[in-house]
Amino acid sequence: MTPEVFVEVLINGIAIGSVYALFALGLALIFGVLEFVNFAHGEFYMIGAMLISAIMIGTGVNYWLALPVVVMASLVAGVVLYDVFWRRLRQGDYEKSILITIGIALILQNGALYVWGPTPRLLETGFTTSVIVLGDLVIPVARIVAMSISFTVLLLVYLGLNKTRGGLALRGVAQNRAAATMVGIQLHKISRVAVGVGIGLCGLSGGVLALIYTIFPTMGYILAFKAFAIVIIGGLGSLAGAIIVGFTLGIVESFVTLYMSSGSMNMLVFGAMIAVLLFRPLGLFGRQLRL
Amino acid sequence: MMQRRTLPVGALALSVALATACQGAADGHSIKIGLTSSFTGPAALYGTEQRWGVEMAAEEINSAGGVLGMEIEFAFEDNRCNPTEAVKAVNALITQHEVKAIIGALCSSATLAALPVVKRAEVPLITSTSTAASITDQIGEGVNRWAFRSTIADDGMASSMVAFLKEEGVKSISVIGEDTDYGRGGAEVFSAAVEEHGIEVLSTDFVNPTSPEFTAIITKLKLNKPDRLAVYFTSTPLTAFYRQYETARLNIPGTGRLNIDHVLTNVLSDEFVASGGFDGTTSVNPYSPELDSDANREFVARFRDKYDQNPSQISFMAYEVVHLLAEAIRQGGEPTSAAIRDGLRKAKYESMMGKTIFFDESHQVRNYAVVSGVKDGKLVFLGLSEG
Amino acid sequence: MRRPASTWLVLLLLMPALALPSIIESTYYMSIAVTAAAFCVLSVCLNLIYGYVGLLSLCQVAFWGLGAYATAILTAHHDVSIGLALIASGIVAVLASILVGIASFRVSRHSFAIASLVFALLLQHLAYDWTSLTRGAMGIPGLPVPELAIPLVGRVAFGRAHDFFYLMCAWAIVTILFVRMIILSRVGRALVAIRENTSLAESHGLNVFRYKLIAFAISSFFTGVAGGLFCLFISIADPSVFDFYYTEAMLVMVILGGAGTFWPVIVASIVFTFAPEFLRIGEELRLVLYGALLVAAMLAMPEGFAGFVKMRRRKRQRTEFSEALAGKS
Repeated sequence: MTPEVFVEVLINGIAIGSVYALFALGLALIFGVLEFVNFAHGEFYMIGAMLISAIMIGTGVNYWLALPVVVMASLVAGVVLYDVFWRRLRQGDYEKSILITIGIALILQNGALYVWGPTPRLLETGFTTSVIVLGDLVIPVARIVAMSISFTVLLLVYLGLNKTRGGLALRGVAQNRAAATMVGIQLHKISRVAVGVGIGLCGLSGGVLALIYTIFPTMGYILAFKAFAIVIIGGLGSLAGAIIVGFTLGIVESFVTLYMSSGSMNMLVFGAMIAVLLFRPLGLFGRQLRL
Repeated sequence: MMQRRTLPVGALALSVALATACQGAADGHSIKIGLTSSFTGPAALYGTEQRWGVEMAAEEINSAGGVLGMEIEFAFEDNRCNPTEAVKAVNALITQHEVKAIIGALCSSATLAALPVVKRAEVPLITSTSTAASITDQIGEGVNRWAFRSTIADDGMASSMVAFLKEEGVKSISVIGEDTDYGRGGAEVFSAAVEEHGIEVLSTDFVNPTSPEFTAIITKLKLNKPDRLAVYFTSTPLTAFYRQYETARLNIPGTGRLNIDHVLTNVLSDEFVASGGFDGTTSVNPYSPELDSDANREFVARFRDKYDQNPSQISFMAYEVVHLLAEAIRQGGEPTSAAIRDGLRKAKYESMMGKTIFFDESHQVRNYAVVSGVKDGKLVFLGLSEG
Repeated sequence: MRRPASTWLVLLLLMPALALPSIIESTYYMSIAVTAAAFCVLSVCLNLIYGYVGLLSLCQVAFWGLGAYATAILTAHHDVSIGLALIASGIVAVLASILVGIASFRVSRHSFAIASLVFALLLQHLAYDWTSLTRGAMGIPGLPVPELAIPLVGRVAFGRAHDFFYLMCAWAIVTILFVRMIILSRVGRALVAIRENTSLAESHGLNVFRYKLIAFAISSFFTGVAGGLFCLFISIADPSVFDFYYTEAMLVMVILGGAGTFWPVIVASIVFTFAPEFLRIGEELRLVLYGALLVAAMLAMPEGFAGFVKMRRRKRQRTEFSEALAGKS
């Protein structure tokens, strides 16, 4: 392997890994506060990608205008999801929460198939196919953009959780629900924010990955396998775990698939998940909200 | 150039359901033929193209008085290019719609799954599109006397394509295919032809047709640097692959059986094509609208008149198979499955590709194939070859 | 629920269903009837593990698909007899269930739901990617027609839907009887005790882990064999047997029927197999509808239809009682 190829593969891995991280972070955030697993997470990601393509083709606005719109729409969708469905559920209604999100996933995925059809779409942004050429090194601009957006947002989430009152309250709820309520934290308000941000991150990762991949209604379903394995390996509700495992998987996958079929890669991911369940049932990074 | 063709698939599925529902009642004045194709799913575009060709031919036949004094009527069943759905669709056509013959099932994997079903039910099935070489051994007298193929197969096309590449001085080739009977079969016969001509095969890779990720394959190609890249993809992986091909600034001319028109108009950017990123690509196909003959020019004009675009190879093959089938019904003399089967062995049809096609002992046809290529960013017709 | 006699009563009521093949001429409707029988097996098994033990298993479809592939590979590629292949299908499914169970039962109910989903998704990926074994997206077509030597009748081939119906029905009845027996037995009471209060059950000396594993293994065995039978019926196995569609349909049947109730779930399986076909709804809209039903059921009648009826009845009794009281005073 030449150094140029090594760098290209590494950049590719970090770009994909950063999107995995964003996606899994949203999942972990929601679980941390509500103890609910959002099985429709992959579908919100797909809707994010579909929406950005629909907005850009429908109105002709450019990517940088469409992306915030998609993120805002996802955020609102998250808040609505919380207020309409999850708010009524009690702690311990595990199965109910799972079944509701599975129902929502079905509606979104098949609704998208019905409305948009299964044909894959491509996003045209003016820079999706541009490259930076440094000697033999070819770096696609889209991957750099995807990476930069992800890093910026990860940083913002970190600052939000550690430096703002809301973030501190959110971490408080995640660490000890009962104690947090006692010191006067409004549970519903915090939960609503967590779900909104979680789904917002998810829509964002869809909008970002749309730069790199084709967009189609079952793309969320395909991502679901890896995303759920990531949260089990990292530890349910562990934000740091979601980010670290997300990045690691992206990079490892990028190198490993050069030598192995994607089928063997999937087996590897599953094997890691089973091993973690057997030997470290709470995940590699346990349940903690510290970043 | 960058406009996308998106299909209102939902509406299409509904219209299919309605059409089949309306055609439920059979009267004595029509003969019913089934078409199973991919009207939804990742190959929905091909299903629509096939339907267009079938409907155009049926209209022509019916307005000219039909066959045996009866009109040809079509029943449609979707199979999403999925083998299981194809079995269900063929069963539905036979038992619910009571069709006398079936055209389908578009994708090779779906057709292969349907073959045992028609054999058991004794209803003739003609595939006009499934080119996989693996179908060759599965049909014909003594094997499955109810199944026919009205298109040339991938093995014939591959060897004429490779002969052309040899003349161009190609030394090494990498092969990629989708993981279906079509992709695997195509890659296999192409590799065999390549080795026969003394050209080196550097690598062979298969991908899941729904996978959007091609980085690993592209990196491998970058390392191997083959002279040509043989591609056996249908539209979904083709779109995803050539997008990433462009962002990796790969410059390996494609070959094999690749839908050049689709890549040029729907996938690659104008600047990349203009810079010569796709030049030197060649492909072999059973048909091309650029074909230089009076019959074809007239067909293209009529098709454009009706559907406002050029006929694709799928539309063309569907159009010809219906005419061939009508001739078989005439030859059979009776509107029964058994008579149509016997008629298919006798029927002859003047193909626009320049040969008179008929089914031989092994239920295959011989015809010419078209070799086309990309020169200065434009699709060009390079010649005909024996398929 | 404590009246085992009801089992025989219901089966007696179901007897006329066996005459269906001689009444219904259409192969199409008979195929749906075969599918309905298969869904009865699937939902009875999911009901055992979810309704009675309280474990939301999202990998029933994995056992179903494993069974289908085991039967397809053994009969088509290794010339194993159909009977043996079907038994092997059940065993393969049981082995898989033990693997998933051991890894994820000890953790939380969440981890189990996720791990089971990941397992189901993995198997679909494998069916696509492990082409040397499964032929990938091409599937394994042209499976043999099951034949059975029946005393007095002679050799019977189950090629048509009309004949296959008896085969699938037989398996559905075996499943129903066996699962019913388990539920009414001491094991069944232990399972319900675990669902109601796991730690209490544990403190009473129940080996919770073992009981969970037994229930999971039973549900996977019957599901696996049903998968094998189903692929013989459609004469092909391909990766679409692992589709989330089956999970979806099973969940709708169990939950709308009423998880933890026995007969309503079976009625729901039959209703929800036939209804979409009669309504001629396309697949996408059908799944949208299923999703909406699932969400609505969770919000409006979480105990399913059976629970809803029970609740209404109780309410009515309560009002009658209070009216009677009011009348007295």
